[in-house]
Amino acid sequence: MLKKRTLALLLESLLFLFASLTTFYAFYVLMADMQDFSHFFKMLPLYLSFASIIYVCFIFHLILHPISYSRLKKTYEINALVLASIALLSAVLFLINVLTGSIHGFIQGVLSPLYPLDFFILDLINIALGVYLFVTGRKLREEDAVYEPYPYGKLRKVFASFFRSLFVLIALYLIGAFLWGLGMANYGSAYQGYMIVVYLLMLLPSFFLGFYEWYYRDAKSKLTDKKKKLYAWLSFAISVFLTILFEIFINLHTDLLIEEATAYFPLDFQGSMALAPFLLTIPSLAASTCAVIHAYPSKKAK
Amino acid sequence: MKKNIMRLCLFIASLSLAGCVSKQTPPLDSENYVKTLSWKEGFKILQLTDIHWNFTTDIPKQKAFLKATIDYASPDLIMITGDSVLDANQEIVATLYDYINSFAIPFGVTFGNHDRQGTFSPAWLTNLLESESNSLYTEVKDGIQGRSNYVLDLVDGNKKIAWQLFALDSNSYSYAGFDYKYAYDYIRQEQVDWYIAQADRAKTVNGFYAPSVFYFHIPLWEWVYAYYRTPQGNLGEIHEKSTYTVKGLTDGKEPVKFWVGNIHSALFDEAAKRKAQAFYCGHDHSNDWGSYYTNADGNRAFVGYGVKSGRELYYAQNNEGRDMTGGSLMSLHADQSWDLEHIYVNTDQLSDIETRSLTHA
Repeated sequence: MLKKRTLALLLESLLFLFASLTTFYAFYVLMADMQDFSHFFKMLPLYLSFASIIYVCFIFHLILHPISYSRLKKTYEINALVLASIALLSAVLFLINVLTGSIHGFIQGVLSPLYPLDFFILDLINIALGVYLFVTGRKLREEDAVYEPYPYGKLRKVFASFFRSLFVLIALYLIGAFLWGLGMANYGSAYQGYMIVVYLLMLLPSFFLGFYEWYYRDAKSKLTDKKKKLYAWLSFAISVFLTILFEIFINLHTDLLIEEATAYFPLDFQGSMALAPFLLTIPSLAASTCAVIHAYPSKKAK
Repeated sequence: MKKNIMRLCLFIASLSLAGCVSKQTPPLDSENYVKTLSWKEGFKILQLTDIHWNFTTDIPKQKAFLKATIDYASPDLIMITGDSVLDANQEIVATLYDYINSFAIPFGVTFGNHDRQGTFSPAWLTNLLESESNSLYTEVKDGIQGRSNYVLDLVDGNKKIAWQLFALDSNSYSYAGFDYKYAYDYIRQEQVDWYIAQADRAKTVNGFYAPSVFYFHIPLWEWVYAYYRTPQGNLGEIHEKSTYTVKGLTDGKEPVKFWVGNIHSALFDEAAKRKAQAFYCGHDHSNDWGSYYTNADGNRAFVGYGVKSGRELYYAQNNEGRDMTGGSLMSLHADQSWDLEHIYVNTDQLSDIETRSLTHA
């Protein structure tokens, strides 16, 4: 019988993978509308549905790792209400679009086999989930959870929350691209070997997140300083090695991403901007650099 | 531990390099690249371009638009010159090509810079196009740059090649390395060599070069040369809003509203001396301009944009306020003359169709 904690982590990981698939797809849909957003009202309920999936991941994470009783209650009550509201708005907009003919019927298809019905059902589930979480929050007692107070000041928390969330979004996008890429890849091409490094870079941010959530978060209080430094430098070394290899490959074969990765980075090829080299390398380098800095805590004067 | 890490790094590096393979190329004049159609006097080719179906497309409406265009033109062949989709999934792509196929008119496809921007693999797209019953799309597994390089021979009753229609992949983007911008790619020398071999094959059959027409997506530098010489052109208008500069092309001159490849291709020069009549592209939605151009060797051909086939992504209106959306129809004649007609279809009122024409004697 799996421990409750392991089950929770497993569920969070599955949610993360599901959210990654929808994040990547949502970005593609957004790209299609980006020229002038002339279809914004028609597409808005879909954007809200996609956003709600990421939001559910976010709420779940906050519930799994509460910093205090009051914050946990707010998560259950306020975030749950926000989730239910987003989902309700999305459901209403779907109905309006179908009734006005902007969407051709409850099962138009195209965006998904049962679109918009499947997303409408998802919205109803999220409304129910939001209501359930709200009601649960009202009954919550302080002893119902184990708290993980944030050890640093408020300003650092704000910055950390922002950049951590950005890192998670990028990780979601990249692993989503990788998973979708199993069906989009240019198999048998001359450059497939070089793409191994690209795939590893796509997986690296999620690997760092998984390593932290599955092992490091619980283990760090028991780890020696030496071990913490080792893990930090290892993550940095992997990031640097893959980045250098990647830079060598894309300068050796300047059409590598063009031939192999057009489908993974639609924004690049829509706007003729080479953003992918930065997206693939900077987040992992930044995260591993932070890990190294964090592994050497500042010594306060006694 | 350090040794294991080193071994892992070496393994990744060697796996990457080991996965790289080179392709065998059949003879450039191979008939694997050739599809044959029966020639008839007044053979009509409808060029559709930049259809750009995507996740936001109102598919029933755009289907009706394409139907109105195709029905009006009543062509013998449809050539789609790239950017058929943008941010699309398999269902959108399949719906488009199934619909084109449903007209029971032979059709060919060349790829643009956006055709791989979707949740599908290049192999899937190739399989789809090759499996459509009326598709003439041909993709030979070779080492030549691009996927959509093939030729349609219009063959007469005497088994002579009356006309050759070349589909070429103008590829997509070009990356200079250590840069944050992509430029547009161009038709490479190996593709030009392939064309020469195919033109020479036709010469072997006929005893002389067959007149030819070229379809691809990204315009050549010759569009710009033609514009500098004759800005008003011979047909169509220019309404792209922003301008583009290319090193070696626009240096010290007026920036142009043509988004050409970043390197000069030898295609026009080689083809124009082998009886090429016209070159058509897409890519710049707000232009349907075309002009004759005579190169330094004294060889002349027509270079021109098609008419954007639908309102998706962006489009323009001409000087009379009419949508520049529809198709471009070329009629070929046995005496090597041809006619070109730009068809403008009003998406909101499909019976409202206007045309502009050019006759080449």
